[in-house]
Amino acid sequence: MIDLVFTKMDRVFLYMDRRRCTFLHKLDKLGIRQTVKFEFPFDSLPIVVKSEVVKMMNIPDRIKLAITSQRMENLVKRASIKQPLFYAIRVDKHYPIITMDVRGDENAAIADSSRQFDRSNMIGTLELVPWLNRKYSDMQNMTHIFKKLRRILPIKRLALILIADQLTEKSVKELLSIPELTTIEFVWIEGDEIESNILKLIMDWLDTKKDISIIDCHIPEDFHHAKAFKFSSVHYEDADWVEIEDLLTLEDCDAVVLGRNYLSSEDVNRFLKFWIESDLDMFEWFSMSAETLEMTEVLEDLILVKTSRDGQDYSIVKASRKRKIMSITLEEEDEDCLRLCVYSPEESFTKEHKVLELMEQKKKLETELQAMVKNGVEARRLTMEIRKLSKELDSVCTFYNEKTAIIAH
Amino acid sequence: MSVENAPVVDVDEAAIPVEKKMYYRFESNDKKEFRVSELAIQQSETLNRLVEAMGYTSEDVENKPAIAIENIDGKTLKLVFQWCEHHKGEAIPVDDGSVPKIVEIPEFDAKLMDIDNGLLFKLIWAADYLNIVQLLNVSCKKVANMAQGKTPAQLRRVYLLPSDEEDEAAKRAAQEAQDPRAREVEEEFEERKRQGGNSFF
Repeated sequence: MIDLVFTKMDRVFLYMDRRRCTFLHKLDKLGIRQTVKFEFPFDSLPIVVKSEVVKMMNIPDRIKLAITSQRMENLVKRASIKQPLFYAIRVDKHYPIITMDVRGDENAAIADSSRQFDRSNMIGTLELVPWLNRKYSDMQNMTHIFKKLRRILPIKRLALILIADQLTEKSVKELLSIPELTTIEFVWIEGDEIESNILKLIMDWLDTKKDISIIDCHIPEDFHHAKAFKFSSVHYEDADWVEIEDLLTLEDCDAVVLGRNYLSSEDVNRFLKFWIESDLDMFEWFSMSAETLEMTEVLEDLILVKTSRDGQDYSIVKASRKRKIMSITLEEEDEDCLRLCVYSPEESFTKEHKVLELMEQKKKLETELQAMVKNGVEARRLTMEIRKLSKELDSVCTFYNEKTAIIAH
Repeated sequence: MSVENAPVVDVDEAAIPVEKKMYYRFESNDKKEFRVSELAIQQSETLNRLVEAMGYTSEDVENKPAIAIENIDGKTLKLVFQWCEHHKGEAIPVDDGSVPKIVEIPEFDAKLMDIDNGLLFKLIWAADYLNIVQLLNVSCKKVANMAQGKTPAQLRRVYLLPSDEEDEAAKRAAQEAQDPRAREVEEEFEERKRQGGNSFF
């Protein structure tokens, strides 16, 4: 007699006894009720299979399944644990809307049932009645729904979308006092115009590690805020209000995008010189509308290397107090745009960095040599070193002078 | 290949294949016998491991009794083996953990699963027990599709889902069934309360 025992997922036991294969499971014990054509005994499936079914559902169907009972809520929660979602809460004068996204093509939105949306992925609040409280305000109810949802469908990133022209100081204060919103990582503001006092409230509240974008929305020209350029990333499509002093406050910012602005070539030149001398990591990537900029003025008095890559011209400058280089590009595709990218020399433009170092050393030695009163041994040593540096520069550059080197590719 | 033409053979209905390939014989719990090719069996991790362990020769397959699968009926097993024959040789998908899990139902599978929901239910159980990954995927996808566009109330009806109250009642009933003494104690307690007693003891 042979006895072989296999186990599978702790639920199926299979044994062979004298060539008879037997499955020991609960199928026979399940009193599967007769179902009509459109009914399916979902709840009688094995738990692992139920979880697989939930994983194949889209987000709106998963949410609606979770509403049916606490047990289904737990099932959806377990099945969705590996798929954190991008959440956004959109606030205008109406009921707030919660949207959820994954991979861009899969999304759901929760809005007041009275709002007309031509979207198949929309869940109206009437379908969420078990999660609502009649005594709550619309905002409180939506916050409650959001709290429920984030427990069931985990959150990857939360954004707050504000429609500026429909906001009041009172509504913004109420909104920003909601504890759940402190986890917001990104604020997007759109609408005709935002009032200075409302934008101030938002910037006061928003943590500097978060991102802010103000798009298609006029910002008053007298607006200024100490944190305006302290956020992790900033995008101000209307940057008429931005002055050079604002830019000099940049610190640890990943990306800066400025649209229409009044910054002059002298302003940008001052900004670049400030970056070269600064020991702070001001930004990683910077882009601004540059319709009125003159590049010769922008680059005036900078020690730089002109180079090109993939048909694009770059000017490379080197920071004095930190091991960083910056590429400066004027892109002229749709509209003139100045782009600045900061790299470590090991990361990119390594050869250009080397040239800048040689130019810097050569200039230093030349200054020392000029300062010497007598021509002695030390002067001869400096002269020799300068010649050596010149030779080295000759070997890597097509052209160089005191301030500019050119590397032709 | 159509569902009808899939090469699952009911012994009563068709001739024994003459190919040299090995065809294993399985018997359902209602004594229906099926011949299934070695390659088709590979779709089922459970059966594949079983036949490997048995180490049958071609002669053993013919001379020894069919392998009995005692908890799956003939109607379900026929669908399972039709699916395995149609998909024999195909790679077994590996779950990459992505959610939502993207599964397409091929035309053949859609026709195969054009069955009443009771049989679909048995097919899913069988696919799970026999560990046929892709059959489980497509059958689960069919069940997931039933939820599309439904309201929570409709979902309760379609999936026969009990409410929280019904779940709670079922849980209480199960507890009471397990411990009849608990019910007696509770009844005694209620009776004493009615009689005005402050303490149970």
